[in-house]
Amino acid sequence: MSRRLPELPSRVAPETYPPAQGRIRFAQVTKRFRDDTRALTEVSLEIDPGEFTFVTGPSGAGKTTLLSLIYGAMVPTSGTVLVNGRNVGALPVRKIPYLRRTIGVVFQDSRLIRRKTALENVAYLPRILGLPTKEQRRLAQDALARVGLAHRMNAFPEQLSGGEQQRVAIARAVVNRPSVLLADEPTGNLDPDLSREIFELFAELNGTGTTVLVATHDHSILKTIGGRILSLKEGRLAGDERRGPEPYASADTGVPK
Amino acid sequence: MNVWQALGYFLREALLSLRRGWKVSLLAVLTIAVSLFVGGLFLLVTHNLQLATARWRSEARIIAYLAAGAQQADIESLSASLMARPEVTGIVRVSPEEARERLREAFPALEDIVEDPGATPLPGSLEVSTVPEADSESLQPLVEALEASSTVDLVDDDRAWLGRLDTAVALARGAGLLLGALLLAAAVFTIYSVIRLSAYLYREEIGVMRLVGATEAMIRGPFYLEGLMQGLLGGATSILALGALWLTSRSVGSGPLSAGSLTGDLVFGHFLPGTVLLLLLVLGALAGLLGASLSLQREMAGRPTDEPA
Repeated sequence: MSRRLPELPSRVAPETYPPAQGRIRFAQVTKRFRDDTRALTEVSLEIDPGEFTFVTGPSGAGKTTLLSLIYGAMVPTSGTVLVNGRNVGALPVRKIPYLRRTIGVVFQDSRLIRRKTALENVAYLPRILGLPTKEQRRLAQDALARVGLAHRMNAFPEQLSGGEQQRVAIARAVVNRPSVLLADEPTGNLDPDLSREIFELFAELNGTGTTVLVATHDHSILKTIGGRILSLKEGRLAGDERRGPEPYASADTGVPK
Repeated sequence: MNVWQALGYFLREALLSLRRGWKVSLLAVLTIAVSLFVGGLFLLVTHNLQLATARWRSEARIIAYLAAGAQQADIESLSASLMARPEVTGIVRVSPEEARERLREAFPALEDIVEDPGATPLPGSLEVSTVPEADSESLQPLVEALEASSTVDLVDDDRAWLGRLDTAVALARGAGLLLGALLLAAAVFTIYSVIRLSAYLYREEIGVMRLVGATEAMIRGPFYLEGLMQGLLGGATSILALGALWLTSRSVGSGPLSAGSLTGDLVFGHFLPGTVLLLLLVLGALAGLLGASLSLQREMAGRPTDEPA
């Protein structure tokens, strides 16, 4: 836990939202696809800033849909999704990129840009924010160091192992110090040791106040890591419980839990 | 990100893409260059032909060949009546002796025939100069008046064949522009394919860019700039090729297209004016932008979401 998240640059690009608290709220949210399949049905929940939450459920339960609604990849059919007080479904398309700059997203496949090095992948967001080149590089290097990949920053994705690629994706997701980190089956392709390592990274981020929401069906992780667990079943919220201690809230972070 | 930062970002990304896919980019550039070169070559030739016809028109005259046995008094009377017309600016009378001298100078090889005492003597003539703006149609009454005169045997109007030459030049220019337009359309399609291929190859990349918060302008900008640069490079290449061809023709010592030869001066006497060169560049740029725009319309339509159908 000695590694630290990169600090925000002194000059914050004007198009980013101001640092937000990371609160997520679903009010009676239903999502139906065009073929009339219901992915979510009247889901209501509230996630407090700094919470570490798992979303579990079998395949097709609606985990990915729930996450997609948060970062504006989908629009609810009915109900309201609020992220940091903003109604995501009502955001005009042109505003969605600005929302996404406040939310880090990690997928099962790392979704890195193949023709860019690890450093360039992580530096992409600072770059489009218009930060000075030195600042872009510093932020990206710090984020890569944070996930233990400073020595691999010039490697292209194909030169990295699956675990390393996923860590680069995490570095990219946190480089702008998002208020919310979403992870959709982030360890699905990784062995148990690497999975544990990835979750430790999430926990560290959570320890600095980032709201972390992880969709997983990996029950072994749930057994070893405490936190809030939201269970989805056939698109409905079937359970909401807390298991064990808050996973990585440690005294040295100063983040109230 | 301000405008300059955005432009810098577009430029770096577009240059990276051009360098990464230099083979397909070269194909697009050359396709545009060939189209514009063909169109430009027609413009170059027709431009010179137009200059020549304009020069000839300024020197064009109506020649009235006098009837054998025409009386001096009749000729003077005819000259006076012609000079009274507003479209006539001058009359030069060419005697049969002067006509023979001119023929001898123009065609030295025919001297034997010219000097043959048994040959039919050349007729005398009146060379009637007219105002430069007059065309064949407006001079028709003058020609008819001359033809009606018993003093005149035959009337030859330079503008009649200049008019036919104008039509031929216009047809050649039209055909050249049509061919150039067809080739340019092919170039647009090539750029469309090249950029669409890029957009397709980097569809995942575009998805990632959207995911981390890139705006549509951030994503599209580099592709537009790439198309624009391909178009400008194509236009510049076509101009360089046209210039090289023109310079080569002017530097060749002899031959039908060499400087100083009749045909050489006729088709390659002058290079294209700056406005036409600019037009070639603009057409190249537009072709590049159009290709990029069409390809992105297909690859990036709709809301930036991953929503399943």
